[in-house]
Amino acid sequence: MLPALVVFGVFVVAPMVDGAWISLFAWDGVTVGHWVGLSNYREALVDPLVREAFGHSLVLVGFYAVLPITIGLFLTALMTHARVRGGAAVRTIIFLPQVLAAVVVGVAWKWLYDPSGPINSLLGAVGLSSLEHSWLGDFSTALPAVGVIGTWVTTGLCLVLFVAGVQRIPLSRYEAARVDGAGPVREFFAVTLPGLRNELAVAMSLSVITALRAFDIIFVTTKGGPGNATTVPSLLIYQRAFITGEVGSAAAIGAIMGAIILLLSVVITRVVEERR
Amino acid sequence: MTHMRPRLSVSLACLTAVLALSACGTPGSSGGSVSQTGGAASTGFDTSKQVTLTMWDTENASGPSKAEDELIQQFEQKYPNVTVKRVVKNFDDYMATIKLAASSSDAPDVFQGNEGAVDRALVKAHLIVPLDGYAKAYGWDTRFGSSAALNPLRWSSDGNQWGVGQLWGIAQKAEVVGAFYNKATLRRLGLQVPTTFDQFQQSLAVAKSKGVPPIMVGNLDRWPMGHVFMVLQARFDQAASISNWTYGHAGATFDTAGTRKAATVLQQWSDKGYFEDGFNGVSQENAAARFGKGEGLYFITGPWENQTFAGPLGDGVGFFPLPSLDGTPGAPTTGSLSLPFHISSHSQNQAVAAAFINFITDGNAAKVVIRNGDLPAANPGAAAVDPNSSLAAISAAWSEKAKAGTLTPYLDWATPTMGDTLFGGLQQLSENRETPADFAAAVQQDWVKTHS
Repeated sequence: MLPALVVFGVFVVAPMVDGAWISLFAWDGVTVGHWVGLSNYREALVDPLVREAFGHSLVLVGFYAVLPITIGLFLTALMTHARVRGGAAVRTIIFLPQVLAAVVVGVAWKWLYDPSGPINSLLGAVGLSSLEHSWLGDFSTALPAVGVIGTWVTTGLCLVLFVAGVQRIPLSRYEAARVDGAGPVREFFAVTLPGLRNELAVAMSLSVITALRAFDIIFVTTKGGPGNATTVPSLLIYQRAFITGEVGSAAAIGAIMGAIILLLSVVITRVVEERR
Repeated sequence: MTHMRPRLSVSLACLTAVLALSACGTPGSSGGSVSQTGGAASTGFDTSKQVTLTMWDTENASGPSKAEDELIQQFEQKYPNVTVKRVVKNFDDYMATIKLAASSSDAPDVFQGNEGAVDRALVKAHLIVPLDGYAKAYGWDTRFGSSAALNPLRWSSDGNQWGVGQLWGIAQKAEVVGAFYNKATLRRLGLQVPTTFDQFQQSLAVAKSKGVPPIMVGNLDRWPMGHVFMVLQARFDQAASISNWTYGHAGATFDTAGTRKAATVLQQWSDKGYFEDGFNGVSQENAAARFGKGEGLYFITGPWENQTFAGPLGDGVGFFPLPSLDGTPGAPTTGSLSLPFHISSHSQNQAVAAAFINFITDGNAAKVVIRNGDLPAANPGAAAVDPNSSLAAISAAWSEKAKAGTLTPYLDWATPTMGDTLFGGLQQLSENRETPADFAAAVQQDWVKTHS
């Protein structure tokens, strides 16, 4: 227990405390900083760019958490009901994006989204050339386009969690439901969904956190552009800490983001997870 | 409940230890000792002592990287007592880490900075040494066409004034932004190399009407359109006004008639479809690769892309600086010495480091650099470079502008956040989400935050 605590303290708690401390300074990362108290926080909270970035995070929660969980539940319901031939293979394939490095995912999708890339070619080939788009370059489609990449990545995780969870639900409950004359939909809401509460909590926590700290895929694909259309808080933290020399401000945004994530995790665990 | 107590006390003890460890001092106050002598006016150093120089650079493209290795080998042969250890990173990683590396006590002896915010921070924090003494001893003032060419590397010793004061670095390579063109496509369209700005615009219209993308640009990376804008601004605004603004001189403004005109022209080009389709969603790498395969008529960028084009196209690609409004030669254009080499104030071997950066930037180094396909800052002389190549044209353009002192600095040097403001603004402008007047005002607003 003690060694674990020491490691945790040195590598997690200490940097966190240090970060919070730095957020109270105006510091360029090189010369001596000076104390500014809470003004980095005040500035971050009124900065329209920071607000916009958190707004984008909220949209990404839809793509990184809500969509994958919905799709995951749907596929799970399908798989529990009908014995899908090669179900394990399907699960593995859907899970694969989780195994790939995010940079690889980003580069691959950047190529897919290219104006002369496969997605547009496909649209053109089936006579939908009016839908062809500069997906990552258009102000209205850039954020959803990045979001879809997140959906693609996190769906596998949700599915695997749910499928594993379903196997824990006693078969007798399904049999009972069937005896009571429940159709597939009733069965899903009466048996599967309640039985998956814990998995749901885990999937929600993980995917919401992934959404809020999304960085790698955006950094690789759009760098926050066009304009500020895909700028997210972690991108601002990176830019301010390492590029523009506003380390205090970066630390403050990081602390705000950390607090939000912590709060959401607590809420999700409390509300969704089964009490014992 | 009884088992809770010891666990809690252990946690608390750990937390306390951790708090003590993280030593809440003022950030940035623990820098090592530095020497600020300004450099002795001598070219010699002790050649009997074994010395290892550490060098950090971001010349990671294959040609330039080979040139670096070749020069290091030559230097080590000339001075067998010196070993050079090279660390190379790609540009983004490099710029994100170099300030931290330079501030550590085992900082690299020699490393590349970047004109603008990075150099300002290095000077302010006394992490690099002024080189005026060495410059005099080695003759760096006359090495790069004109003394004015070194202005982007001059700072007051407190780092507050730019373009004046002491010299803090010298560069191996140079950059001049202009139009690469596909010679075969130009001929096929029945066009000549334009000699006035009007002719240039007409050639865009002709290409568009014949279904050839007039200008290839991959603005998903955000900065590429910045260079298109900068050469346009150099056409319509005063060169002195652009320099004063970039260097942060009091009273300068971006919001001029010339700037707005340049922004208007760029927006018109976008409206008329002179940039390739969906350019804001295309990566620069992809756009450059396709230009190298023969797509499009022009590509407005600098010598760093030369190999991407000349590799596949050979002499089939040419280069010219954007022509002036009335066709007079020698008009201003965007360009500068490339990333400067600095000497660390933590270095124990500053005289060796000075001899080394002298060696990798002189006339001999210029030959090595141009042979590896990049544009050297010093004059390579009658080097073995094919006179029909794009590189020969780039080299001629650089020499002409450097000698005449008509190079305008990169606008994103102006403030630490200018890259984001300017490039994001150009994406808005090119999609008609912002007017030229709003664009100019927004950019100026960023400048005022830093320079007032």
